Order: sequence, then structure tokens, then C-alpha cells
Amino acid sequence: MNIKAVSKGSKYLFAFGFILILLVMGTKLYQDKAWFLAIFFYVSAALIFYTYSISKSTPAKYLLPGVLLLTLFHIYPAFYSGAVAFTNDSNGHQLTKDQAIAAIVQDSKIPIATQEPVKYQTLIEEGSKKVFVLFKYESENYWLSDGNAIRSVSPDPRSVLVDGTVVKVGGFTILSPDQTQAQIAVLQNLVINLDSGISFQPQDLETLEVSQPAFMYNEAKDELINTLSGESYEPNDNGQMVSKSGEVLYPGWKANIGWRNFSSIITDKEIRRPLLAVLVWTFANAFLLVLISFLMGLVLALIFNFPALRSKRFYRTIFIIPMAIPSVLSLLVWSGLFTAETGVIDRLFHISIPWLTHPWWARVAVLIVELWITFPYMFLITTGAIQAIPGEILEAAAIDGASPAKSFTQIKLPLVVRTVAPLLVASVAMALNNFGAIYLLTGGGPTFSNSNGNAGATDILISYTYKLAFNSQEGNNYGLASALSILNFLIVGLISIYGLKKMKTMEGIN
Amino acid sequence: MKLHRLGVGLLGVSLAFFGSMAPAQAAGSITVWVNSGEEASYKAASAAWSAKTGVTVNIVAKCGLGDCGMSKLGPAGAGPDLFTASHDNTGSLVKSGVVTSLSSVVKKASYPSAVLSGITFNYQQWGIPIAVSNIALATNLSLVPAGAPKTWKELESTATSLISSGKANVGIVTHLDGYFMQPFFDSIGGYVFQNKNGSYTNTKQVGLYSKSLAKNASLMDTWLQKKIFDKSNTYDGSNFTNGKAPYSLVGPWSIAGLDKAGMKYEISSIPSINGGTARSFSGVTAVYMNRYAKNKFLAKQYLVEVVQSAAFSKAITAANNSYPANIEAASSIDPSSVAGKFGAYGAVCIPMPNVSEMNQVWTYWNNAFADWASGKAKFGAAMESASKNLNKALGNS
Amino acid sequence: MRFWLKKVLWRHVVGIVVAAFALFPLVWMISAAFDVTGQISTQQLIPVHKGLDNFVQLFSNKEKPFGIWSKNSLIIAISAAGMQVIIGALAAYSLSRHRFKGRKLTLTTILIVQMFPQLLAATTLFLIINTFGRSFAILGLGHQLPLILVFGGSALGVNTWMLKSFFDTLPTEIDEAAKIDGAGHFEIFRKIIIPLATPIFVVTFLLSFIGIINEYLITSVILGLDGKNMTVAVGLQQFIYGQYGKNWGPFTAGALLATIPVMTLFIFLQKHLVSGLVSGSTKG
Repeated sequence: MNIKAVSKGSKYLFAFGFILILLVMGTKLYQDKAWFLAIFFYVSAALIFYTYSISKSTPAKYLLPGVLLLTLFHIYPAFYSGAVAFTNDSNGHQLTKDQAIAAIVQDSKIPIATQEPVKYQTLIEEGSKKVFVLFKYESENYWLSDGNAIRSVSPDPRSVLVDGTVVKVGGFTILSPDQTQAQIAVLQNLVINLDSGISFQPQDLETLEVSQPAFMYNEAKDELINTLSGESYEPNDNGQMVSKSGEVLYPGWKANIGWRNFSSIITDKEIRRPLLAVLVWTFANAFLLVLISFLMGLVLALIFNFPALRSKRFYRTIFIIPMAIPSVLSLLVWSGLFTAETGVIDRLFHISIPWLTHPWWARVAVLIVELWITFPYMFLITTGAIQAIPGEILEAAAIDGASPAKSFTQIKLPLVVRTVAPLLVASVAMALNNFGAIYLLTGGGPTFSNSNGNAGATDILISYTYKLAFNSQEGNNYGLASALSILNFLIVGLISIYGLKKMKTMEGIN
Repeated sequence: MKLHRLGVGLLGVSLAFFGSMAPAQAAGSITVWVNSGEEASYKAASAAWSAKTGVTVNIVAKCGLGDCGMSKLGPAGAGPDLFTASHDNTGSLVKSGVVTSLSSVVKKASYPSAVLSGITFNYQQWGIPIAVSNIALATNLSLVPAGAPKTWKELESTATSLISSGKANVGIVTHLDGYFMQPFFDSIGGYVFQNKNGSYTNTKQVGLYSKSLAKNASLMDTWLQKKIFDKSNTYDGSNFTNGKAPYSLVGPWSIAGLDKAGMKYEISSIPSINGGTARSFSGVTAVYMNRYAKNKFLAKQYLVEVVQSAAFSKAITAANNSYPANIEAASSIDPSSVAGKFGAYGAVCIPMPNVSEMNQVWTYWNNAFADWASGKAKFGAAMESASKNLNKALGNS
Repeated sequence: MRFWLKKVLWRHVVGIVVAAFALFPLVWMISAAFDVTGQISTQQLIPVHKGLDNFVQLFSNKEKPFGIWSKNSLIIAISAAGMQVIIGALAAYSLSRHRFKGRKLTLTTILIVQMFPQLLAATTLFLIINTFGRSFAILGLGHQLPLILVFGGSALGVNTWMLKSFFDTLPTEIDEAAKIDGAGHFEIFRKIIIPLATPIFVVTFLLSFIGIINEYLITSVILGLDGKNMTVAVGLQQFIYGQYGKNWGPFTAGALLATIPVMTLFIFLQKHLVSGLVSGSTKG
């Protein structure tokens, strides 16, 4: 058998099988009502089929897997988060409007005591197969309802037992206890309302809970009425039901608020003031960090590039150790070392600096730790850059009588900077989003005293945003956090693009 | 050959996927989310009921602090049937609309009124209390052979004399934040919100700078200066375990560490400056029901038959060193045991306010303590500005 | 001698000072790991109460099983790093060799997309994986497969750029020669490019591996709070979570145990790492 044909055949079988799996998964997702994911799987299957069997484009074959994963786990979440920025998604606004109104009504139930528990029977309507509930309340009337419509029925007295149980209703099948059990999912969410406002809810498989909700919802007029006080409540533009006197009902719902999150960044003093301070520090931190660590790396590279120094390898190995320790662990250890007074650093150097509780010292501490993490990388790349300088240039300069200092400033430095410039730009972009170093070390603190939020002296935009979204003390304001994420993205993106452009022109000049 | 093997492989993969497709939740099961680390005790306490009724009880470790993520997961249909949370989340859980009222289920007579007030919001009960936890005073018996102080004067004089003789670095090892400093705050007349008839819904009355606190504020500055409190604000227990501090505020979570360091200590209540007992915050752990639970009937049955029982409360609290909320279970705790001592003090403590406004309270209150500890402001001034800012944030002024 | 003193001695002094700075936290991590009182702030260099208690605690704690965490970390990190290298290499090769219409756009998009920090989309990722889990149990929350796939989603990122820079240094004449011999594009990739690029693959794998071992936010969101599912990065934080009751002893012991293999790997592969980063710098 032709080996090539076999291997080609098996490759196709493998691909075909993979596509089949994706289609099957997509169908299951569709059945489970996960629309977006189902469509994504179908589209992926189609793209894979097209790319690897029909399309002539070679690049697509290499890029497709990465692109598919990137889309699902990076691009889609980013857009989704962006969409959240236009809602008031936060604690108290997680429900849909229907859920919120149902919750308000349900929570306002006033229980009505009955002399005997109200029993019910479960029926299935022949034909539509809908679940109905039959029960007797107060008068000799029986009520039949599926939660939407309700009507009173008078069963044939011959089909009613002594205890009130009905054995036959025309057009319906009466369920046995076992069959009733199978309908639990529907029964436990059933709410039956009489016109008088009395509400019945199954509280187990046999009895109904009788109550009178204080709130009634008029769907036509889109208003809630408090039957006890007569007050009426209508929706406002923030996903809540509000009365004329300004009383707000809870829970609210997730509402589309347009650009309000973005505008509040500028107009709301409580948001704008801490945000401004955070932004300033975000930039300061990133630029200082890259500048200082670059200088340190450069100086060390120059010092240890000395040929006569034989233990170069030894020092280099030690210098890169900070890169080798998982930063999530080393950062936490640093936070312990910086404890004021009794901490290791204060005791070792016989100082008494309130590292983590004083805003400016906290910033210094953050920079020290970030420097510790970053200088090895800077050391390595500047070493590489220096070593890449052709020896002839340096020799020529020495012959021309240039002093070591001049050789440095006029030749080495510019060449090194030009070589590592793209990496420096990338470092700045990463430093702008240096979440771990801030959050694990200081948590963004110490907190600004007058702030409404948890903005602190060492917070950078991403850590502040994170706290807004995930710190329940902040009300889990996903809406505002998403707006800030977009802002963050724009800032980092613009700076990176600007930096890259600047470098391209620099290269052009030289 | 190769084709054959590939085909088998493919079949295997497909079977794996088909097989892994989650079946619809079988009739006769409920899901309960509990604090991570506590699954074993919940499973054990539910085993008998599960065997008797044939209902599978899925205990999953998903909770830590806060509301277990319920505010997002519940409405999305991704939540459990029941979950545990600390009672101070009640207000925000109710306001988010993710929990169902349990007023018809709670047997009020089984729990002390302070515990009930913790899970009461808007005149309805929302959780079944299981455990009560609070901090208490730990006295280092090697440094203070006389034992726990019975009055504030005794505490203060013991601490200052030990500090001046150099035997101690600080008087009381504790965090300087709202939760830990509450007893001292209470002692000098401060409060967060007025508690009316077991309900904290009166958020118009903020007591961070009450009249009596304003009068006594300078005492806090004196105590800080005398090193009764450690201004480095680190709660590094080693001062206490190394015998360099006579007192510490500890919770049930600290006991293991104290025992490991081989300490001899006594747990007691905290004396107030006016002779009585200073009240700390107590926290009630309760089980709440997801409004969007998939198995409401069974969950309710579980709550009534298992969670409300004294045996359940006793079993869970025995495993995590806290004090049972159920009165009957609590009566079987040995009062001289560590848990008993915590519980005895806890009985006079006040439950943390469960209103959602507490989130903002913590922010301003803790900031004020931090400013006072770092020396930026005197206690009175710090609390006055915190009170003003809080009132503004709550819309009270 | 004079020469040495003037030119070399001061470099050693600088080296020792900087080395002390670089090793500072590591030293105290070791001290705290062997100190049974479990504090770090008042830590002495040589602990007063020495012992192996912390290490014992790490492995005997059923609810915080360090052994299982390590296994989880390794499985996830190796699989995900491998996936990232493979996907990244394929994409980087294509971006380096093939000239096609959307090439520049793709390169820029990769760069830009990485600037939206995935952690802010954590809630969405959670909801996506949760939705998966309702249809396919092994793709749901608390399982490793979805986490590995999520990391795969980051494959087209910084790593791709680095690999592309490297591929750019390989002269296209090699490809041409092989094409003349009748090799298909994938064969060229497999038989020629991959062997040449092995050092850079090792570097990329190592950096990805360390990055994933280090990752705790998305990991904790997807794997959840069940002790058995955690990785080392997430699990060790449980010891010092919250302001009260920080247990530094087992934390530093675990951190030490986690650091040693990573560091050894790093030092062992130092040569490749350095040349990879250095060549990355000279080629931009």
C-alpha cells in the first residue's frame, strides 16, 4: 500500500473526525440553548473543513487553530465586557426586569392562615400536555389553573370523593403521586393568582401556600401598586421601580444606560478624583519602573561585560534568579518583609519606615519590588545588545583616541538604546498593566481617606478596575469596571502604537 | 492498520465526549455550596437523611467570604439550591433578589434573639442560622498569672506595667480596623447603626461620632500612645506567641496557632471602661436558599429536617471550632472549653449589621482607624470626618 | 595585582551587593519555611523554633493538599505551555514566511488583543466555561481541560512575536532549497525549521510554563475553591488569605518547594534562555 496515501488518508480521517466532533458538540450546545457557543462551534467546523480541504491558502492552515482559540477566549470576552460597559450591571442590578418584578411581588407576600391546609391535585391537559393544578378554596368552587389562566370548575359530584379529592375531570388526566413527582420542576415555580389578588403556590407535592402579596403588577401600565398603601411605582432609567416620592424598590434589574458609565467618569466627582490620582500613578509607575530598571540593567551589563572578570557566569546566574521565582510567590513574601517596624527590612536596616501604610513609602516599596523583578530581564537584553556591537566600531573609536566615557555616550549608549527600544516599549505597555505587583504587594493601598471607593496610593488603573468589579464592598460595579477596562485598553494601546511608530522613525533616521 | 487504529481512537474520543455530557439533574438531588474546607463535615451531617430519603446531597466547596458569587450566578441559573454565607451579607443578598424568604421555615424558638436579628431583614427571615463566631480576649497566662482581666482598669494597668518594665512591646495585639476595634469603640460609646427591635434598617442614624464617643475620643489617643494598641497595625501574632504582649484579640481561627506555639492562654470577654462588658461583633453563619433553585421542594425539606436540627448545628460547629447557633445544641457545649468561652462572650455580643450599606461603612470606618494608627489624625477628628463622609455617601445629610 | 584591585575588585563588590538584593526574599523564604511559629514579619535569619513542621503540614493537610496542587500545576502548565508553543510556532512560521494580504493586520491585531487584560474578562470566561459545563461535564468549571484551552487562547501573543523574530533570522534560502527538492510546506516546517528552532522552542516553552505556573486569577475563577482542584499558585494563597490568621509557615514551605524545580529548570536552561532573549533583543 502506498505509504503516502495511507498517511494522507489517515490525516483526512483525523480531520474529518475532529469536524464531526465539533458538529456534535455544537448541536448539543444548541439543544441546551447556548446560542453563541453553538454557532461558534458550527462556524469553526465549517472553517476547519474549508481551510484544510478546499482552500489553497497556506497561511490560513497555520493560523486557524490559534485564531479560533483567540477569538473564543480573548476577543469575544473582550467585546462582551465592552458591552457590559453600557449597562448598570452591579449588585442589585443582576436580574432581568421580569425577574426583578416577580421577586418584589413574591417577597411582599403576606401569609393567609387557613383552617386546614389547601390541598391540590396535579393534572395534565390532554392535547396540549400542559400542567394544571386543581384545588378547592373557601367556597365549594374548584379552581383550575396552569399559572397563566384560571377558571372555576364544578366537577360532577359523582366524581368527587368524601375528602374533596376529584377522580375525574373531562379533558384532563389526573396524576398519581408518582406522576406528580415527575412534574416537580414545573410545580415548584407555579404561581396562581385570583383576581382578588390572593396568590397560591405549591409548597410541596400536595399542599398550596396561600398568601396575599402586597404588591401587584399591572403589565399594561408597567407599574407596581402597593395594595396596602396605594402607592404606585414606575421604572426609572436606572433599572429600578420608583415611587413619585422617590422611594426605590429592591431588587432592581440590569438596564441599558447608554454612555452614563463613561460620562460619570468625567462628571461624577466621587469617581473622577480617585481615578485621576490612579491614572497619574499608573503612568508614573510604568515609566519610572522601565527607566530605573533599564538603567540598572545597563550599568550592570557594562560592569559585568568586562573580559577580565572570570566569574561573569556566576553573577549572571544569580542575577536572573528573581526571574526564576514564580512572582505570585515572591511578591507575597516581599509583602511580608515590608511590614513596618517589626518587619525584616526595618529591623535589618534599623529603620522605622511605615512601608505599606504610608502612601509615598508604599510607592517606593512597589518600585523596589518591581525593580527586583525587572532588572534581570533588562540586564540580559542590554548585555545582548552590548555584545552585539561590532568590535570594529569600538576599536576604531579607541584608535581615534576616544576616552572610555566618550565611547560610552557616543557609541555604546545610542546603539544599545536603539536595539532594545522595541523591548522597552513592550515593557512600558506591560508595566501599565502590572496587576500582580500592585495587588499582591499592597492591594493598591493605602486607601485614599476621602475616597468613596477603594482607590489607594499604589493603585494602577487595572487594579482599581479589578477591585471595582470583584470587591463586593464596592457593589461589584461591573458596568463601571467595564467602562474603565475600555479606557485602560485605549490608553495602553495608544501608548504602544505611539511608541512603535516613534521607533520606526528612529530607525529610519539612523 | 493505521486507519483502523485511528478509527478506534476517534470512536473512543466521541464516546468520551458523549459520556461526559452532563445529564439533567436526576430527580432526588440537591446541591449545597459551603465554605471551602467544610465539605467533609456537611457531608457527614447529611448522610443519614440522604440515606433515609434517597435524596442525593451534593456538597460543593464554592464559598469563601461574601456572597459566594450568588448575585451573578443565581439569576443566570448557575447557582445551587442552598448556600452558606455570613449573615452580614443578608441585606445585599435580599436587595439583589437572589434569596427566598425562609420566614415560614425558621423555627424562631430554636435560636437566641440576637442570632435571629442577624438573619432578619425587612421583617422577614432569610437564612437558617448554624454557627455563631466572634472574637474574644486571649490572655497570656505566663505573662499574666492572675488570668483574664475582670475590669478595664485591670487590663490597662497590667499592660502598662509590663510595657514599662520592658517585658512587653504592646498591650493588646490586634488589627486596628472596625471589626476588631468594635468592642473598644462600643466601650467609649460609639456605634455604627442604631439597632431597633433587632432590626438595623435605620441607616439614618450613624454613630461613628456619637456624643459619647466625642467625649471619650481622647482616651483612644492616650491608649495608642501608651502602646496599649500597636500602631504598626499588623496583627502579627508573633508578639503574642513570643510572650511580648499580655493580651490579644483572637478568633476561633487563631486557636490552632496558639496551641502549636505551646501557649498557656485564657479566653474571656472584653471588659468595658464603664464596668460592664464591651460588645464585639458576632457573625452568624447561615444557610440561604437560592430564589432560582432547581429543587425547591427538596431543598425546603432538607432545611426543615436537617439544617434546623440541633444535631446538625452541633456537628458543623464542632468541626470548625465555632459555637452553635441552635439553643439546644449550644446547651451541650462545655462552658469551660475554648468554644464554650467564645460562646459565652458571644452571647452578649451584637451581630454585625446586615444592611448592604455596611459596605460603605467599612470603607470610611477602616480608613479612619488607619489614619489614627498612622498618626495622621487624632481619633476624634478621624471619626468625625468618617462620620461626615459616610452620612454624605448614604445620602443622610 | 594592582590591575586586579583597580579594575576588578570593585566589580565584585557591586556584584555581591546586587546578588544580595537578588537573593533577599529567597533567603527569608527559606528561614520562614523552617520556622515553626509561622510568622514572617518578626522572622529571624536563623529561626528560633526550627523544624520541619511546615513541610509536614503541607503534605498532611487534607483540605490543602500540596501534593495534589503540584500535580495539577504540572499537568496544566505542561499541557498549556506545549499548546502555546505549538500554536505559536505554527502561526509565527506562517507570519514569517508567507506574504499574504492580511499579514500586517494579523500582526497588529495580535499585539493589540494582548493589551486587553484577560483578567478583566474573567467574569465572561467564567460564564462561558459554566455554559460549557452544562452541556459537557469535562469542559465545565472545576476541570483542567477548559483552563488549558483558555491558556491556548493566549498563544497568539508575545510568544508568537518572539518566535517570529527568530524565524525571521533563518534565511529563506533554506526553504527555497527544500522546495526545489520537492518538499511540501508542512514538510519544510517539520523537517527543517523545527530542528533549527529547538532552542527557541525550549525558551518559549520555559517562559510559557513559568507564566502559567504563576497564573492564579483566571485559574482560580475556572478551577474554583475546591481544595482538590487548585494549583500551587492558587492553593498556597489560601494559607495567607484574608487579613486574619495568616499562616506564613506552610506558605513559605510550599513556595520554596515550588520554586526549587522552576529555578533549577531555569538555571539549567539558562544558556538557551539567555541566547534567546539576547537574540530577541538584537533582532528587535
